[in-house]
Amino acid sequence: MEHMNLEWLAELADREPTAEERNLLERHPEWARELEELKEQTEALGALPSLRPPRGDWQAVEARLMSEGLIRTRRNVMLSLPLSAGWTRVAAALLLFVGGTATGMAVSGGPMGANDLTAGIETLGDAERAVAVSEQQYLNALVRYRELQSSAADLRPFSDSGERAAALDMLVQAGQNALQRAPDDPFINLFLVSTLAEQRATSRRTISPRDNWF
Amino acid sequence: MGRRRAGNPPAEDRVQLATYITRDGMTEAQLIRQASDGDGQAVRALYERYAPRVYAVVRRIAADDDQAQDYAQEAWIRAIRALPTFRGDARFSTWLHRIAVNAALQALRKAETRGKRERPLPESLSAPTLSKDALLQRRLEWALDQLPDGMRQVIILHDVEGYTHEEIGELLGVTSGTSKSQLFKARVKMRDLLKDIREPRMEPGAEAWST
Repeated sequence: MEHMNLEWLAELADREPTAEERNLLERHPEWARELEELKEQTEALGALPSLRPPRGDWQAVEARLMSEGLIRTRRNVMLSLPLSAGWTRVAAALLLFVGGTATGMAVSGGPMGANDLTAGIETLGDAERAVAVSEQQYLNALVRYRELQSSAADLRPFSDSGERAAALDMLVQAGQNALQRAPDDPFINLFLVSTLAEQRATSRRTISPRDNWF
Repeated sequence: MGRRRAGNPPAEDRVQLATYITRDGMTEAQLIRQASDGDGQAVRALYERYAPRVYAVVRRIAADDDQAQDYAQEAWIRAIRALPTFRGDARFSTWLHRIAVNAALQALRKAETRGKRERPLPESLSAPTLSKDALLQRRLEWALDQLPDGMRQVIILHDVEGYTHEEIGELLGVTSGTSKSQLFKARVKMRDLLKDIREPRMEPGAEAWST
């Protein structure tokens, strides 16, 4: 008589038994019972629910996506400052915008100006959205500016793109730490945004088709 | 297909603002298009929709909470980076799931120094206050974590995620025959592990996985 071992039974959890196998199972109820348990186990595995990621996971993903220049978002450096900073955050961002306007105009050639920015802003929400848009425009312009600049001038001191990216990561980290201490300081704001732009431009230059492997 | 271009005209950003308001009413195709264009809110919406499924498969493959979080994040970065190449030939969820599985498997291969996980049986596996379903889920998750890597990967991909042996062979770089053999061994090992933790005082017919 042939013996049905457990691995054989485990295989039967996926398919109908042959006539010979059915015969064996009928003659050995203990094997049939084992098979039923294995089938139930397999069904239970298939019914396992999804799992919620740990808290803070999205924030970590978002930060990485931003640092790689893959997304733009309203929840950016300026708006992630403590809420009590209120209008000072907006003011600091406006300073940045004004500082970046010249660069933005030079790059895009578009008719940008402070008047366009403030028109229609009546609530804090309006202002926050305007800041997000302005900051994004400034960042986009600055990134493009850096890209054009670096294509014109060879970056010899940082010919190793990995080293350069690591150096920029350190600068961004330092800038973010500094901004936590002095959230309203326009120099630190400008330094951080400028570094983020350079980081993004560097990331775009170094992404090659094989990096899209998945 | 290029990535989001730098120096978008201001008008494009104004359109973007309007879509924040109507985000809930957007179709998945619209969300994907906007996410592909670098719209953080659209990416967030995709994340909210699919993060539990991505995290679940990555967590089960990794069998480790900390590693799972790293692998899941890596999966999202890869997916968003590759989003402009998504043609819609497969469902987005299937495409994303495949990226997550690959991210986890690749990371595991790199983690050569990973020590063997020896996990004590958590007390919660016999907590009388848990519902039968919750208890069953915890026991299954615990038993999956105990399996050797190869067996665990195959049983998760086949029995939990529904991949075929051919697909598993392709993902793991083994033959479909090896995948089958590993699966049957894994099922038996799981059964043994679960038998060991089953409550001896449990009433007849109330086994953890009885339906």
